[in-house]
Amino acid sequence: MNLLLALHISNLQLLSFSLFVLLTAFVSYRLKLGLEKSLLIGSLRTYVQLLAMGFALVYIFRYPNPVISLAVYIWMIFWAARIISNRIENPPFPLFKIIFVTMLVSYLALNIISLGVFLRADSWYAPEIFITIGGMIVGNSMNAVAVSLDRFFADLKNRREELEQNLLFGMKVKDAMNDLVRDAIKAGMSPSINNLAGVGLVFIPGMMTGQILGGEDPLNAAKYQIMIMLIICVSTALGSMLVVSQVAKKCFNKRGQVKF
Amino acid sequence: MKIELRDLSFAPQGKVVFSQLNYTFTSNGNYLIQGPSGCGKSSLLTFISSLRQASSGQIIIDGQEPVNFCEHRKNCQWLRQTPYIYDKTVRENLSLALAYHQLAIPSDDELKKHLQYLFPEGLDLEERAMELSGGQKHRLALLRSYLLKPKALLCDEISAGLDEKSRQLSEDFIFNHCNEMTVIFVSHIQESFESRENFTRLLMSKEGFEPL
Repeated sequence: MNLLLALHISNLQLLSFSLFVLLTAFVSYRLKLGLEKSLLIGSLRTYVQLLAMGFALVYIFRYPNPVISLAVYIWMIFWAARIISNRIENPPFPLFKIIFVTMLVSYLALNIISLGVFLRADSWYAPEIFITIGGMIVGNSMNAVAVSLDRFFADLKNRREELEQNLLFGMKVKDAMNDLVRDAIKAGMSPSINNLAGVGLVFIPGMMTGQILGGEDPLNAAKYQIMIMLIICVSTALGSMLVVSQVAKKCFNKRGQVKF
Repeated sequence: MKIELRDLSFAPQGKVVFSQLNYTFTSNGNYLIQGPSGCGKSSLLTFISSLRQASSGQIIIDGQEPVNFCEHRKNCQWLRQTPYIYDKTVRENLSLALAYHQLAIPSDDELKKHLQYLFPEGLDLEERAMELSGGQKHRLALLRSYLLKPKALLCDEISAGLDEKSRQLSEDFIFNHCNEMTVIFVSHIQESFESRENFTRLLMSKEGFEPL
């Protein structure tokens, strides 16, 4: 039961919010920040991409189908893996495949467990849950994985002497890499852990805000938010750990030497 | 440890540094390899310690190519020119690798005996190793490697950038304590080793080694 009247946004009202963006762009121009172009293009993309997604989801929800649910999921992970691998400058080897496969397998498992075991949804592919939660998982952990990988490759360069000293002491690759891998995973996870502590005190999370504005009872919205935040926390951990450890393994040859 | 180089070549990005190097370092021998900067002396040590891989050729250790690289690296300690010192105490730096390999950590008395030898100026086991001087770090790294009881000690430019006192202390320690190891020094300048007995001096160039 909705306690509040859902706020309905008309197209004109939605469009009027772009005035804010125009104002910001103007300020950016006056202060010579040079951000106007990316700000305007970014806002335009937000309108187009989200509305397109909204339209698509209406149809996908109306006709639930496992193939379509899976296809959307794979599509989201494909883009996430592309964005992450493009964000790493000069990777020593192509990263896309390793990220794509790792994220697909681990997040799919996580998503299906969440739906089937914890939420007991009617079907594992129920699109209104499968795709939305999947989107939250992929979107949030994309950042974590990118931060982790970024940190890992930076450390592989900056902390090379430490790593080599570990190897010279006769440590196995896994043990010699331990600190680097751990620090990379920590770097990726700390934003979502910080969120866990700050949520409800410092800010009302975006999803909850959206739900409340959409007419949901705040308590119910909070319950959803808790579930989502925990799933996101697990998925950022899982994504960072699996991707970084896969990538770390690939950096060594069978003699235990760094390949580049 | 007997170290045989067989047709060892090093040509990064096609630029030949040395090629077809053949030589046998006998077990427990003492060697000094000299040569101009860039002739591949230091690289040779990284290949022997199997930290990196030569372009072609083999390195045979006691009759066979190493299979267990961790074991080989532990047995063949490479002392780099600027050693890496962990941001921990002196004690932790000395015991880290021993603890990793589950080897017995020497008693405090034993450690202090070594420290007195290498650090006549005095050094406390609980001092933070990062705060030591360059020469002290080098001596600490030497002791750290020595405690692992390696079969070979590879010393990269031990005298470069070191004060006279540090160099003297390190050399004395090596000559008095490391008789059961194959010791290879690498240096681009003349060393004061002439007076040492049983010392093989080699000049390294593109063509290979030449006795001095």
